[in-house]
Parts: sequence; C-alpha cells; structure tokens
Amino acid sequence: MSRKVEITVGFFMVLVICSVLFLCFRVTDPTSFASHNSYRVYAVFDNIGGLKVRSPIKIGGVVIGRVSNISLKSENGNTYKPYVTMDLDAQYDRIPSSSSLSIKTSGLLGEQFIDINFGLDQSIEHELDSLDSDTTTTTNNSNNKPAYLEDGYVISNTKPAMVIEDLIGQFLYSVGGSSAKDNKQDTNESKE
Amino acid sequence: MLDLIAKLGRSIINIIAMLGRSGLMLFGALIGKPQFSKQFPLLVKQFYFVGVQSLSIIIVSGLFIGMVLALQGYFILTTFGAEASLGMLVALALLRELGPVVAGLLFAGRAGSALTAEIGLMKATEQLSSMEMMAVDPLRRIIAPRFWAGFFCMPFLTAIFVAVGILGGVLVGVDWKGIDAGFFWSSIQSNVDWWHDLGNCFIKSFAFAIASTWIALFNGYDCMPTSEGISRATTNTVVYSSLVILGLDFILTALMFSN
Repeated sequence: MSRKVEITVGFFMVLVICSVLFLCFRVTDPTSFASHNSYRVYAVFDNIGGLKVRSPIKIGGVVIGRVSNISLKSENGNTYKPYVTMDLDAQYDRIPSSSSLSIKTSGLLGEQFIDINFGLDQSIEHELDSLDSDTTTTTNNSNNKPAYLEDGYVISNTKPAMVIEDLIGQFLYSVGGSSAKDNKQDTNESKE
Repeated sequence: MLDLIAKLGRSIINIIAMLGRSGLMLFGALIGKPQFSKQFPLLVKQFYFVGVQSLSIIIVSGLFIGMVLALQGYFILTTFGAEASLGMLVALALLRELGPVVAGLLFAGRAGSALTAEIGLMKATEQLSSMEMMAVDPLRRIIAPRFWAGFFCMPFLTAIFVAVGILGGVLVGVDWKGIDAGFFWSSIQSNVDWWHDLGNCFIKSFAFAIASTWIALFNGYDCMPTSEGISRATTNTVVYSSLVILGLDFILTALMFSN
C-alpha cells in the first residue's frame, strides 16, 4: 500500500512539474523573463493619443522596447506635456540621437505604438565636417549632444499621434468652411 | 424585541468564538517544532488522498472547459475575423480566472468535503480523544499534514488544470477549426505575461488553497459528533468554501488587475 502510494504521488509530482514547465516555456514567452539589459530614454510629445504603458516601440516593425511610464511634465515652466518613459533593449545602442519619434497605429483600429525614424548619424556628420574645416567641429563638440541615444536622453523631436476624431473634425470644418465661403461669394455676385 | 436582540448578539458571539476556535486550531497545527522524518510519510499519504485522487476530475473538467471556451470564442471571434487571437483568449481566461476558481471549486467539492467527513467521523468515533489519551497531539498528527497537502496540492492541480485546458483549446482551435498553429501560439506567447498572468494565477491559487483547506479542516474538527452533525459539516464545507473562493476571487482580481 505504502509503496503504491509513493509511486502514484511521484507520478502526480512529475505531472505537476511537466505542466508548470509547459506553462512557463510554452504559454509565456521564454525570453520575456530572462531580464533584458535595457536603457531608459525619455520623450516629450504634444499628444500621445491612445498610447499605453507597455506599448511597443518599433524600428521598421521590429519591437526593440516598451513604454514603461507615461506622465505629464512641464518643462521650464511651460505648459504640461505628455512625458513618455521608454525602455529600449541594450543591444540596440546605436540609434542616432537625431532620430524622430511618431505614434502610429497598427492597422485601422489596432493598438498604438511608437515608431522610431532614423535621423542622420552624427558621427558621420562629424567626419564630413572635419573633412570640410576644423572650425565647425569645435562648434559641434561644444554643444555636447551625444551621437546616439543613451540612458536618460530626452527626445523632443516627436510627432503627435493622429487622433481620428480630430482629423474628421478638421475635415468637416474645412468642408463646411469652404461651402460657407462659396455661399458668401454667391451672395456677393448676386449683389453685383 | 429584546429577545431578538439577544438572539442576534448570541449568534454574533458564536461566530466570533468559531473564528477564534478555527484560528487556534490552525495555530496549534502549524506552529511547533518540525519533525520531518515523522511527518513526511503522513504528508505523502495525504498528497495521495488530496492530490492524486482529485486528478481525474481536474483533468477531465479542464479539458472540457478549455474546449468549450475555444469553441465559443471561435464562434464570436470569426464574426470579427479575429480568430487568430483565440489562443490569447483561452490562455488568459484560464490563467486569470477560470483556472484558479474552477480548480478551487472542484477541489472544495472533491477533497474538502472528504477531509471534513474523515475528520468528522474521527471525532464521532472518538479517535481524536483517544489520540490525546495516548499523548499524541491530534492537531499535529491529523490536521497539519492535511493542511499542508491541501495547501500545496491545489496550486499543483491548478497548474495541471490550466495546462490541460490550453491543450483542449489547441485541440478545438487548431485541429478542428483549422486556425494556424503558429498564429495560435504566438498570440498566446506575446500576450501572456510571466508575472502579471502566471504569477497572479498561482497567488490566487495559494490563497484559495489556504481558505478552502482551512474551512474544510475546521468544519470537520468542530462538527457535532453525530451522523447528522457530520452531514451538516460536509455541506457547510462545500457551501462556505465555494462562497469564500468566489468572494476572494473578486477581491484579488480587483487588487491585481485594476491598473
């Protein structure tokens, strides 16, 4: 009896271990809990639309990081603007700091993500400048901007999200406005 | 009128005294010098009664719940042309809610009632008091191994339930309805979070395990030592554990997934 009990309990434990491994490695993404090295970059937007925490950040459709926090922040006493904190994968550390961000929507009604559009690589720019003359390089060095995105960098070259209601509103307004103008012209003509 | 108030007060005092007795029972069973060599064989035996014998009902119901979830989800998602995300639907529904809750309810019905009846009968036939006569603490000898077996077996059974349920979803979604297996698994893997879904599933499951095992053991230990008392205690176990599991589930879900 006791031996049989031990063996069946052993089978039970094996089954449990199998299903836990199944849940860990097949159901969740096994790479997701191997903690990534990441670096943190900030960006200021005018409007973030439907962006959420944990929204993906993509370059050319490839996910390279996620939004880790969204808050409002006022810079040097200006009005509040959405301030997005992003964690980027450390292996992609050569993204030019002049890159611009835009918030796009995957599909017509899909989730929103941040798309990074590459800017001009400034290290190449430096080389070109140094070929040109020595004076410009000194000015470039003096403004002290890192060539690539790095920890704590704040990107301000951003495009706001397209909010579909605003677009429809602008469209309707422009249509309505032009027809009103036409009416005015008509009345002017009739006066004449 | 005065009678009514007196009755109300008496019942409230009774409830508080019952809570106190249950707390004392658990305290007496769990706090003490651990004696692994003596308690481990008892624990293995209880694993057999509590865990292994609940396995069949857990596997069969997990399989059918996963299959039904996939079938219903498929019918709804095809109207939006979104059947590729069926895997996500099945996996998240099982991990976040159905897995811990249904496994908990089944566990309360299958193992909890058996524990209550067993301990109740031990009390009715005065096995517990004869153990005390022999200087064996019945709390340490009877209650403690059953509590630990319930505490560990229920999350284990939940893991099996969820895994079998997802496989049932695969069976319906991929093999029967012909959703591409790659789409199915990638929608699961990209949407199930390691800590947020899987971790919370096990936290819920441990909480339900403590609640339902505690209720089952206490109802058995505290029952009237008659045949009617045992039957009432067994009923109370199933009713109270089910209610506590559903109530706790709401509270835990509100805490875990509110932000």
